[in-house]
Amino acid sequence: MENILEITGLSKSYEGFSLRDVTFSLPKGYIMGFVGQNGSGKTTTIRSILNMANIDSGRISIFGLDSIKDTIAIKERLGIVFDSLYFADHLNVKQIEKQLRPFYKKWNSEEFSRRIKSFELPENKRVGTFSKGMKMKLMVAAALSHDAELIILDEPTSGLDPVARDELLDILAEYIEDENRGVLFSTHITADVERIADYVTILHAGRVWFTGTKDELIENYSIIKGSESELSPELKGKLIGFHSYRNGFDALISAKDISGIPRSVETEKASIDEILVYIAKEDKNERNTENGTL
Amino acid sequence: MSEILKMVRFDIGNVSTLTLPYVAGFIVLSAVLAVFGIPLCMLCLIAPLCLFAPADLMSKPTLKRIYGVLPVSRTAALTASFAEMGVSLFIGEVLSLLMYLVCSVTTLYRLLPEYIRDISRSLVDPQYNNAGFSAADYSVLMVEVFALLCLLTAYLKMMTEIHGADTSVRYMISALSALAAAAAAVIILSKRGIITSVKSLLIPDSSGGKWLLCIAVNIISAAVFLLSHRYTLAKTSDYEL
Repeated sequence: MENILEITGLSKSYEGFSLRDVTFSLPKGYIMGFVGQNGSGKTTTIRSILNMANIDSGRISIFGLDSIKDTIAIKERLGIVFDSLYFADHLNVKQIEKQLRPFYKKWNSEEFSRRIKSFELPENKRVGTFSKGMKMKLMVAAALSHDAELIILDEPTSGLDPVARDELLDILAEYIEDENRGVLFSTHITADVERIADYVTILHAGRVWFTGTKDELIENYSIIKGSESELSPELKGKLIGFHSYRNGFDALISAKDISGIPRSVETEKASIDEILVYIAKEDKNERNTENGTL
Repeated sequence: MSEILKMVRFDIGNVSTLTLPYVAGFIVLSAVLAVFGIPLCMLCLIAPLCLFAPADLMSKPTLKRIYGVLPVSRTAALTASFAEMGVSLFIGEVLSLLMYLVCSVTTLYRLLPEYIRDISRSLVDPQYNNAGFSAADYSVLMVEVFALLCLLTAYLKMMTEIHGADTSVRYMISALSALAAAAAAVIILSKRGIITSVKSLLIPDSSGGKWLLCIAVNIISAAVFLLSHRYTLAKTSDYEL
């Protein structure tokens, strides 16, 4: 499979935060959900992809081109949607279209108008007065009107109502029907990822915790619940986000470690949301009882 | 070059509904008044500053993201920003001089009420002002004001790009204070006879001298803009968006 996006060994440090050795790839024709807690490094990774942040080391390749050397050629073929509008608030849709048109060789004004109509966006109203959902749709319309081959969305669904979120996911599903395209979207709303993504990359504390298909993620991790006394110390050490309470414990476990679990321990599939919660718990080292003793 | 022109078009698009109508309206009004001999056109020198500066200073940090989204280099975006400021200042200079020329040759000032006519003529005709300034003298002064504005704009533009819009307000206040202090010093020294004549200091007597000074001032202004642009580029080349 040909990759539309490849990130290898990306590192970037700021005061109090660093991305370390981030490596993942997105094949053509698929949607990748890029998830992690707030502050895990999703936006920094996206800014690095867009050459808006200066990376310390590593390599980012998009369409087989280098993200730094070929940034202009890459952006011709990229569609970008941020969580907030990057157009001037006092302009209307028509004026924004006029501004963007000269920058893209493949800009299609008819396609833009069609999208604006289908999204029911007013053409003569100042975009600053748009609702969050309308602003997001405007950025999507702009991204889809120059035949972008890869769309990158940074937290596009945060702050959107369920209907607007559903509409956006439908747009992305329709866009990806062309198998030469790709979508990378960062979010902390994992329900969106579960609904639409083919691939998932989980970023935690600046590192890639998991990258692979969504099915692999779901299959590879389970939640176990039971009595703490049934766990051997060796098995306990392999659990992720172990949480003990008066009547038992719960934790996340990798499929490769699940064979050593006693039958009396309850096992269930983990959702992406739950996986994220257990990763965060592991970080806080919640290996304690409710009264605080180990 | 085409990248820079695209960015200039983009920036003009940004100000098209914000400041452009007001600046254009002011220029038209100045032109109409010039026909009647009222030299409001002298203020056209500052009109270009009102065109781009507010958008530059007031733009939200999120708007900077657009430069990370568009297929354009940071160098082109910055070059366009300096170029549009410099060129608009130069257009302001040319327009104000042309309108001032109209103002000095028109005879329609006779239609004006006496009070307004006297004030207007004092800025055009040496017979109407105590300093004995001619239209040519005022023109040279306007070119010098243009140069001062160029210096100030280039400096503030540089500081805005390097330190951010918030910090540049501080620089603007200090620069304006320094200018006001310098102007006050010249006036006081002149009144006390230490500088015998402000006129001889700023305006050459001969026609050739006046032309030479105007050309030199324009060349120096362009050079200042170019140097500020180069310095800003070097300082901000590794800035993140």
